Parts: sequence; structure tokens; C-alpha cells
Amino acid sequence: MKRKTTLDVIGKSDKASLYSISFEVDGTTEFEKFVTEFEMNATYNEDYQRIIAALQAILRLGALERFFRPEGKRSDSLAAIPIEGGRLRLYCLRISEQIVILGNGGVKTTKTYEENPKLYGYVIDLKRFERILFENMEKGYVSIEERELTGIEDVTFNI
Amino acid sequence: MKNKQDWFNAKSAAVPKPIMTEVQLSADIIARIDALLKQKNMTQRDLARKMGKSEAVISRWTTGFPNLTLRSIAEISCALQEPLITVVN
Repeated sequence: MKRKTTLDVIGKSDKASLYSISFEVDGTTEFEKFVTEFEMNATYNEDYQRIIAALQAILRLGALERFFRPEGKRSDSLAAIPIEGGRLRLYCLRISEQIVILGNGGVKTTKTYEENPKLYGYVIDLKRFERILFENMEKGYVSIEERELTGIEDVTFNI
Repeated sequence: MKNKQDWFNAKSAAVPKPIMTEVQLSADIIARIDALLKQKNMTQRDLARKMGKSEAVISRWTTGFPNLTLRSIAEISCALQEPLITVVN
């Protein structure tokens, strides 16, 4: 089933922009779903708070490669926000040092995300979105200008 | 559009100050290490070799938002021959 996808700005600074994907008719982003699931979770509340703080650090200092844990092949932009000692993962696409697209995430209880169907689904969604985004960039429909993805609002992404 | 940014700012404001401050300090130290490595044209492997530690340990100390000990900060600082943090007197 194809799903219409949009991108929303979650945070913006002079160093970086944070976007999140929405597959929903009501516009709820994947990152909002992540927050709703974990902000009141007694076990993972502190991990969640550290992830929110890390996103603020990225807005303040830029999306340095060093802030992310690569989760895909070296060539792609799939990454997670690493929290020391924690099991909670937020998956994202680090498009550049200025642009990050946030997906959903969850508790990683297996060695790899591939072993967890829920996390695997979130990662697959991001990878599909990344492929379509780069195709649109190659065709010139979407471009990166400073810290913004431009043309993104005119493109429909069917995943 | 602005609504989602306001929403995120509200979520950030709800993070306890000690946690927010700790993560920001960690990010500043990691960004400083990153800048020094680039300035000195050094890789993580070079740093590991210079410190006599495994690359896995140095990767843990220099990526993400680690809670570094004063000892680790001192060791990295000595290896890079530059201060990583300063204390207000």
C-alpha cells in the first residue's frame, strides 16, 4: 500500500534544521508518535529526556557526524541518536551537517534492529523515504539550500 | 509549521535542567574533540594509537553524548595537547 508522505519542521537554528516525516492524514509526524510513546514511560523516561536534550545540542552545534551512530551502510544517511547505557533508539536520516530527518524509534532489546519487527519497520520507512528523497534531489525537484530542504512542499512522496 | 516547533520547544523545556545541562556539556566536549582532530589532521585511530587504547574505547569516548569521567577528559586532553574544558574560577 502506498502512503502519501510529508515533511514538517520540528526545530530550526542557524546551525541545523530538524524535520520529521508524517504518513498520517492528520499530519502527526513519526517523531511526535515517538514522544507520545516515551515521554511518560517510567522505565525509559530518562533515555527519552536525553534524546530530546541531544536534539537541542544538534540544533545548537550542528549535526556533527560524531553525534550519530551509523545504522546502515557507510553510503547511506541512516543513523540513531546514541544514548549512553540506554536502550531507547530514535532513528533518523542525517542528510548533511545542517539537515536531519527524524523518524520513529523504540526500545532495542535485540542485537540488531533487523531482529525487532517494529524497529525494522521504522528503519525501512526511513530508507524508502531516503531513496525517494535522493531521486527527487537528482531530478532537481528538491534541493538543499543552506539549512533547508527547498521544493519539498511541492513533492508528493509515495512510499 | 510554527506549531510543531513550539511543541518541540515545550517538550525540550520539560526536560530536567541537570539532564539538559549534562547532555549539552557532553556535546560541547565532543564538538571540541572533533574540531581538534580536524585541526591536527588526526583520525580516531591516530588518537587511539597515541593513547595506547583500542579504537572501540576511543569511539565510545568520542561519539554520541558520553558521560566522560574527568580522567578520560584529562587523558584525551593530554593526547591532543590542548584543553578540552575550562573551569570558571
